[in-house]
Amino acid sequence: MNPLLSNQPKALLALADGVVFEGLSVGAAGETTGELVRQDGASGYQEAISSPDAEDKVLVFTYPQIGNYGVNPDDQVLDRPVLAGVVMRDLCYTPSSFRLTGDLPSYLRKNGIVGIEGVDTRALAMHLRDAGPLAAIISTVDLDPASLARRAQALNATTEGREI
Amino acid sequence: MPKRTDLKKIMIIGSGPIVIGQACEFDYSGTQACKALKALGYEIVLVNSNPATIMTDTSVADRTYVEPLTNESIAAVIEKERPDALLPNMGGQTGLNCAVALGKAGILEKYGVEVIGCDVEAIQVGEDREKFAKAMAEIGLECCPGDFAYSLEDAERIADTMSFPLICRPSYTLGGAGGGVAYDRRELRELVAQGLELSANGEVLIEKSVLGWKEIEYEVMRDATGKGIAICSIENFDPMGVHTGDSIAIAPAQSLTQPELDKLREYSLRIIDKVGVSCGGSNIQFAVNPEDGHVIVIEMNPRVSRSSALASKATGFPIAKVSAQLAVGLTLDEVQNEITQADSYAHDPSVDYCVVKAPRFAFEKFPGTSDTLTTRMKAVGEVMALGRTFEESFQKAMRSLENGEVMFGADHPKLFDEEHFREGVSVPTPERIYYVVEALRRDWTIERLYNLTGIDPWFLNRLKDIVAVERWLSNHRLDDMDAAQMLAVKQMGFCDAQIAHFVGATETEVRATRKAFRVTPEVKTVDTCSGAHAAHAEYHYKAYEARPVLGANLVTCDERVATDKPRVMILSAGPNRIGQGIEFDYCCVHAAYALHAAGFESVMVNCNPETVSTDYDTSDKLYFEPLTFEDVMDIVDIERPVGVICSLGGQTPINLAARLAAAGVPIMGTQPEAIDLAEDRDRFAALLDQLKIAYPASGVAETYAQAAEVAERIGYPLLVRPSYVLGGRGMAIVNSHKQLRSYLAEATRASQDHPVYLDSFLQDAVELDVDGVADGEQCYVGAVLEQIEEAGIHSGDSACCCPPYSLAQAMLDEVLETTRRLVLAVGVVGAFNVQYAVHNGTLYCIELNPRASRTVPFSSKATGVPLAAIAARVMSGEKLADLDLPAEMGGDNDHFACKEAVLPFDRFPGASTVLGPEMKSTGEVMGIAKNFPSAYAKTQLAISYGLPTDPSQGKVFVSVRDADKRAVAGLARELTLMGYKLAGTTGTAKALEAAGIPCQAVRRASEMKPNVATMVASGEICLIINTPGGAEQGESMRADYYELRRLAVHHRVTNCTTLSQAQAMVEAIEQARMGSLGVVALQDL
Repeated sequence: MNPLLSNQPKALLALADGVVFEGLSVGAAGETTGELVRQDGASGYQEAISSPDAEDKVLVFTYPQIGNYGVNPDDQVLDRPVLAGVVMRDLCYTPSSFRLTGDLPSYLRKNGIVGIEGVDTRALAMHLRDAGPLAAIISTVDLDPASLARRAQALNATTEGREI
Repeated sequence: MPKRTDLKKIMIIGSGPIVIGQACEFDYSGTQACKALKALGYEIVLVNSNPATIMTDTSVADRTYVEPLTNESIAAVIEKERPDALLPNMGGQTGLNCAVALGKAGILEKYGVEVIGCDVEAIQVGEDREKFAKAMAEIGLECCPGDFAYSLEDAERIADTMSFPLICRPSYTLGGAGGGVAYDRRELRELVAQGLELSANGEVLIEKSVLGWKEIEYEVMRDATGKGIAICSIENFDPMGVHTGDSIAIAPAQSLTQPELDKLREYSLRIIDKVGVSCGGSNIQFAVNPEDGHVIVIEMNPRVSRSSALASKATGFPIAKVSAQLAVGLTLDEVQNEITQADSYAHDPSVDYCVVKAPRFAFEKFPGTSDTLTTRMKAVGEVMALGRTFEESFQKAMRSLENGEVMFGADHPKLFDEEHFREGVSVPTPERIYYVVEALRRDWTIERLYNLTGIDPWFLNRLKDIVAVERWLSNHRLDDMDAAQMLAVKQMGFCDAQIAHFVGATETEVRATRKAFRVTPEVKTVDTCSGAHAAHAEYHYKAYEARPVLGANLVTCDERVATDKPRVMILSAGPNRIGQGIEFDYCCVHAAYALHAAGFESVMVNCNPETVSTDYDTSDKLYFEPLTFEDVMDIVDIERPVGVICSLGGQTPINLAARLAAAGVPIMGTQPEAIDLAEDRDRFAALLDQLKIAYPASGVAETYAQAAEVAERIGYPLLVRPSYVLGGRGMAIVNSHKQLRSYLAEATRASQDHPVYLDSFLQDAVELDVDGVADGEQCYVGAVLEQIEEAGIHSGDSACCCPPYSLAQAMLDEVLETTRRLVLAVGVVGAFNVQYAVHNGTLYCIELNPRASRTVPFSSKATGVPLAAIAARVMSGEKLADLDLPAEMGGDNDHFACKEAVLPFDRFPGASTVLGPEMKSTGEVMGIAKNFPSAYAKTQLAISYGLPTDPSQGKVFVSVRDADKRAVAGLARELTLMGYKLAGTTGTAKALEAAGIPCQAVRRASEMKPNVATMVASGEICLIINTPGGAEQGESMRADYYELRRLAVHHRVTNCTTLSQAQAMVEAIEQARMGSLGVVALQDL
């Protein structure tokens, strides 16, 4: 949702190479870490979020507007999502579909998924393409970019062993 | 599979003139197809009657025939060229219809021409709704319940079994022409009667109404191995009931879940397989019930289409190009993706932006017709916008329309009819979108709006968010805003002018503040893969994004590519509209080619998805962006061009020139000062006085009293018009004080705060158009065109001939000499167009357009002089003297070229069909032949009116004004000698009888039946020669003239309304009767 219309608190996304994006919190408050993985398509977000393939990953949605048709029980893959977090450009709070039983923001919150919106996900996805796999932290707690960047860089050393 | 080697020569059929429902998107696809097949080593034979196309340039195909798209002329081309194969699915419905007709006539078989891409049987299954419904049932898909009517009785019987409203769709028509929604039996009878007449096979489908269902389109493609991909899904903003060409449309589909989309994709591929599309692209339309997801197949087009052009531009996937390659045997995995160069086209492209298409209408040109949108397409053009979100793209699309409503009525409350506000919301019209936004401002609920409009709540909620940001802005002042807030507003797609309105500032202040905040757009790229691979084509759009707060230098937010070549920006023409269409795009495309060849980097800016200019490989860089001051300035800031070309894209860029120059942008070619000199009537008149060039007496008026005073001084008839117009918007000829008063009442509405010009109208004058290029020192005339209709009919609507067919050499010399003096005095650098009228042996200058005109493509094709390319090179600094130009006017031609206008009256029932100084045509055709009558005959055949070459087709009706009575006798005698029977009104019949020519006297349309009107309606008349009287004629006779014109349009009877046109027509008939008109390749001229 556009920041002018949203009441959501701020969130930060810090990459293991020190890049930090600022945005709004989506889903649960708190902090999460995981490897960033791109996810394409305007639709299919619920399947992707509840997929076993997304375990411990932070999904980066390259299509900018996610959540347009809400969520429904039939499109759920695993009963409980196992992914680490989500990065979006714009999350929809007023979805539309005859199939929906809820909206994606509530779903993310109920499932304890920490995420961020307002991020230029095209730029981020292209960065992943060029820089290779990267871990990242999303936080609604530590809102100091420098501090979060330091922690993200440390995180990378322990998880991926990738030199910065 | 490798490409086929058994084929050497391939014929491609174009789509003919631009008409509503079939516009320049087929120039885009046909040009792509020609280029792709030529690159594979095939020899290409092209047939198309439309000279304003890039595809008919001699460099695109090997053999180019600008000939009528009739069986006879295509057969003549086939006989001459002996192609091995015919690719029929690039030329729209016209191309398919030609292929079917050629097949039926046995011509393809006779000459052994193989239809590739899609066979005739598949075309028929796709197009014939009965066969299609049966095919769908066989693969378990549901079509709309309904049945075919071949008569009014059938229709009544079908209606008995179903409930109203019912949808009527005639078979085999363009863009759903003749379709509509019937709410009761009376409307059903009207629609069916009209549909039966329009349908090529007299068939109208009557269907269950799915009004209010979602309309979803799929663009799919398959190759000969059966591999299929989906290129794009498109969701219409308006629900079913509004033609997809008239609806705002969004790609990709926004409100369907993945399983629903998977299902539609699978259905689409199953459908093209069943229909028998062997390879290539197709378009499938579905209706989806928003309550339960129930899917009905509406139709499929086994060819490239308007939607496929949109899908190509929306995704970067060149559908026509790949379709053509598949047609010659390549498979999807063998064709390399041009943009990524990393893989093939064998998988669905992916997008990471939102695309919004919006239609552009021209109802203001057709007063009297209803502007309610139905299943029959009425839009004359469209725009596309790319942005990160729907909100951003939607607002960009709305400002791309250039209709003065970027604020959705917030600055223009008069837009809303308060008394009928609810209808404004519920009835689909071009203005409905503004009513919907206004209703949200008035706190109408989403539910209420959904119930009234059927527009999906997802879209309504996005508009509600836009309105919420409007409110936020209204509660703030520019000084209160910070950078983050400014960025957030820009991310919602607001333009600076909109922000200025709501915060109470000027656009300039907003822009300055925004730039001080460093809130500027990023350059993003259309790459078919959402950034998964690096892009090798510079196909860009602008978008507002937040950069990383740390490490921004590590991330490519802005994808601009720096080069050291000097850059030239070309501003193209925006949406097609009447008066500004493909002809200007043609000029811009040529400029891009010429500038690239001259060592510049060409940067194209345009927002029209139908065009060749918005193909990513036409220019070095493409910005798919609105042509507003703000958007153009943003691109100037990004690209830092050495110059901007404003004089090739019609009035849109010309109108920006002064403001851009004032902002310090280098304008290439004719400077804004010179543009103003040519366009400001007073300054221009003073210049003509100084140069001793005659021009019609004129005056200016702001009120009726002033206008009446001018009229007294100059005398009637008067040509009246508002200032600064293109395509003659708002022009009229008035004959009396009474007409003057009613014109002014309307004109002030059309153009507020602008004075009205009144010119003495030169009755019976011959009008001339001169196209050329000047460089400040020298003036080069490319072509002189003589209008066939007399002065007073807009040159865009008049037939013309090049070279002039009736002009004395002395007058031609005077025209050339006058043109040189005038153009150099104004200071034109680049293209120009001068219009003259020759009246009683005197040459009058009507106007000078310091820009490329609508006739440039025709002039170039008629003479072989590439005017637009020359203009571009001159504007970039070269001199005419150094360009090694062909002789002026193409030297001594041994052929004549005629152009005829194509009018859209059949789309606008109820509208006046009278031609005048306001342009109404949508397109044009060209005929080339050894003599003027044959060339003119070809244009008449190309417009599908056909020529009444056989006296058994009916009588010739003759009714002329007194001044023409003596001259018409010669024509009447020729007709009688050819065996035609004549009929005429009492006066004309008497005059003819007196000259010894038998002529049956019949009553006027306003008199007792039977009369001429009943004769036309019953098909007894095959040709009408009816010249209207001037001021001396009574109102009732003028009413007869109008009625006859209306009937002629309705019953498609050729109607000559000037004696010069009648003369040309009679000579054309004589030529056509003498045998084949012959065909000629442009390469042989």
